Amino acid sequence: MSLKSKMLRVLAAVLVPSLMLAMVSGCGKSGKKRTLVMVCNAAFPPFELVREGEIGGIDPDIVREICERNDYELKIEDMPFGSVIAAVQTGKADVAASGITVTDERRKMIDFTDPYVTARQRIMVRKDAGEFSIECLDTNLIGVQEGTTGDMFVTKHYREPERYKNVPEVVQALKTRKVNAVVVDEEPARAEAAANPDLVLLSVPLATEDYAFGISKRRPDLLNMFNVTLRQMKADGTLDRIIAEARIRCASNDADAFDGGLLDRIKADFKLNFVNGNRYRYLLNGFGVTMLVTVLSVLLGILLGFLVAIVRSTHDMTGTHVVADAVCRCYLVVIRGTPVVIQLLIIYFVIFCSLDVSKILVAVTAFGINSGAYTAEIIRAGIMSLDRGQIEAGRSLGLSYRQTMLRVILPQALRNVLPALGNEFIVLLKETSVSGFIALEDLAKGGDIIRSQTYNAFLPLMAVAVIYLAVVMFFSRLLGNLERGLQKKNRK
Amino acid sequence: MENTDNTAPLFKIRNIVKRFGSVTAVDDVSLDIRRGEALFIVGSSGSGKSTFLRCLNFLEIPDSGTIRFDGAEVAAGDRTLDAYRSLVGMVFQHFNLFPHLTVRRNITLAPLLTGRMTPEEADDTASTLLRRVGLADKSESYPDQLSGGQKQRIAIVRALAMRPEALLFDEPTSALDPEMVGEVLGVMRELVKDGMTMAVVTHEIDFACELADRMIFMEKGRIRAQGTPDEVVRHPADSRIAEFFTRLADKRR
Repeated sequence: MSLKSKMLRVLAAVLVPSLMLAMVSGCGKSGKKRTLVMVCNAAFPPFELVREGEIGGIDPDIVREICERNDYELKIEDMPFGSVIAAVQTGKADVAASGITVTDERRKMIDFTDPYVTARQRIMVRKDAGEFSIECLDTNLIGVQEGTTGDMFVTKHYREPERYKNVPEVVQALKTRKVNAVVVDEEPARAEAAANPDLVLLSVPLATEDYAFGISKRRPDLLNMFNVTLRQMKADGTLDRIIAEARIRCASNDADAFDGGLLDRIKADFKLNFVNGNRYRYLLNGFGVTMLVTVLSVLLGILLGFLVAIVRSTHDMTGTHVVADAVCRCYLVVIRGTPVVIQLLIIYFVIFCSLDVSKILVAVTAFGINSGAYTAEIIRAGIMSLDRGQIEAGRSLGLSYRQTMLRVILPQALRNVLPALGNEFIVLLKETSVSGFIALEDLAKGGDIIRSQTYNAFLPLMAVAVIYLAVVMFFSRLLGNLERGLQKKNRK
Repeated sequence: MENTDNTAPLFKIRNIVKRFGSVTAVDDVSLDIRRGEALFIVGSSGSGKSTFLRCLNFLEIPDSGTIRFDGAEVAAGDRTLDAYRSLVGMVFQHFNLFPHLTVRRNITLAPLLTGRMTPEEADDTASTLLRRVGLADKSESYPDQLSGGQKQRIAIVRALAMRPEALLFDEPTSALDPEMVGEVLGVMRELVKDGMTMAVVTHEIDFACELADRMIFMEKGRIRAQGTPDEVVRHPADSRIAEFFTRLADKRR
């Protein structure tokens, strides 16, 4: 482990207890039953999808059955497919059940159970595309879900594909003519084709592959349990029944039939996206998470920002605290020089890798540390913008540096930078929209979930955009009033 | 500061040198200031008079030289520096009042934070001093609501509230509109009459001549002439000094 990650760990260890208090979503274990954490990318119907707020599909149903037979309590987490294997590998989850194809590369990282289904890759095109055969893959833009067999297959044999986060996005890209064909697994392809009458599957399967559950190499006990139970389920017909039932459930789209004009169509789409299955709740809950994460992150950021700004400006003015200043500068350079998404993923997968912590805590830590770097420079600018005479006046009266700082400089600096801090809050509010990378269901992710269920991009994205815009406008207005208030007070 | 011999100098300043890069702002200045003396320092811009004054309470740390206050040497970086500064008040050209505090809080902040006074004492002191400078009605105002002359009178009161043994004035009227100079000089006149030890950097030659026990003319970081106003201004030692005072007199007409 590098020195830096050690330092970050120490930082995390300091932050965790203080933040724990503020967390609403607990990490407590319930009852005596052992818990098994399963991860998947819940946008891969019929293997996994979110229905009525719950993650269901072939994979969760099989794993749930295995858990029941072995007296485990099942906890399912949703994350991007690209993170699923890493989650098992790093011990964040016990089993990866996400329609994972067994490959040699993946075998190096995790162990696989016996296959529970054999799947094939299929090419899907628009009906209006005309003749399309396998040879056309060379010359057309191809959409795939990143990290899937389709991705590897197209990359290896044909060309660099356009990689999307999940199947609904791949399909959306096809429908909106971003790509001319897509290569996806047969099962989700069937489901999508059923839901989208303008799309069609080519009859030739591309590659046949086995799906299996991924389990950490450190858990041979779990691997054995899965294999034994899978064999039982194959023998007694449960496996086939679960797969068949999940397919049927997935095929029955809950979209209302519509006939007629544009208005009816919009009405129907609105109902499908927000009313049916109470989908508006994804937005509502997501909005709550977004606000909670933003507010706590800003508070943490201001705390860190103040500490760093005081150290930095003390160094600037007196030349002391050389080491502390160097540490702070390092913090600023690293945090401001790297994207917040990467910081978020590092904190989730590297620093908190073996801890079962609330994802809100992870997000607050990441965004708080990120915001602290920007806040620090805002506050430092506020301190440095004050007339030198203010410090001199304080010191000439016999006040110590600390007293002058606390009673003379900081109150004025804070007042000067209040608008900039408010602005930082607004920026952060929008930045938290990448929380979905660690499967935190914030507002943006809420929209994603709706999209993955309704195969409809326009309304969910618009709704999310409008909510962000409304919140930003509300706080901008509040900030404007605050600024005017301060100006008035200064002018008095 | 155990020395209470009133005839001994309050400040014993020896060989003060202050450089800014290659420029020597204060060049080997030695000087005594007696208790109760009103010392006025004059000279053209860039002559080093303000820097010298700021060295006296270590807002500028001298590169070399010593300052003994009341018999004890004051060392930069020493913890006793805060205590020393609380005994030597400073009035700035640009007032440097604390804009986020009311006039009363400006005055009582330092006496309270240094533990010098109880809140009641600090309040009484503020009220008394404000009455003395005719600004009793401004105690709850903020600095930005005051005129320049009022601000400078408050700044003097703020320094006085610490009950200092000496006051340093760094061009106290230079940033004021002409019609406001008089009210500040009036307050300073009172202080001289009360026997306050003062070192004043100023361009107000008439005022300096009226009140100075001793006047110093500085040029290029050195003391070029010193003595009574009569000796320095009316009977200058050389033509350059005479020229300076003539130019100053011309400007005022």
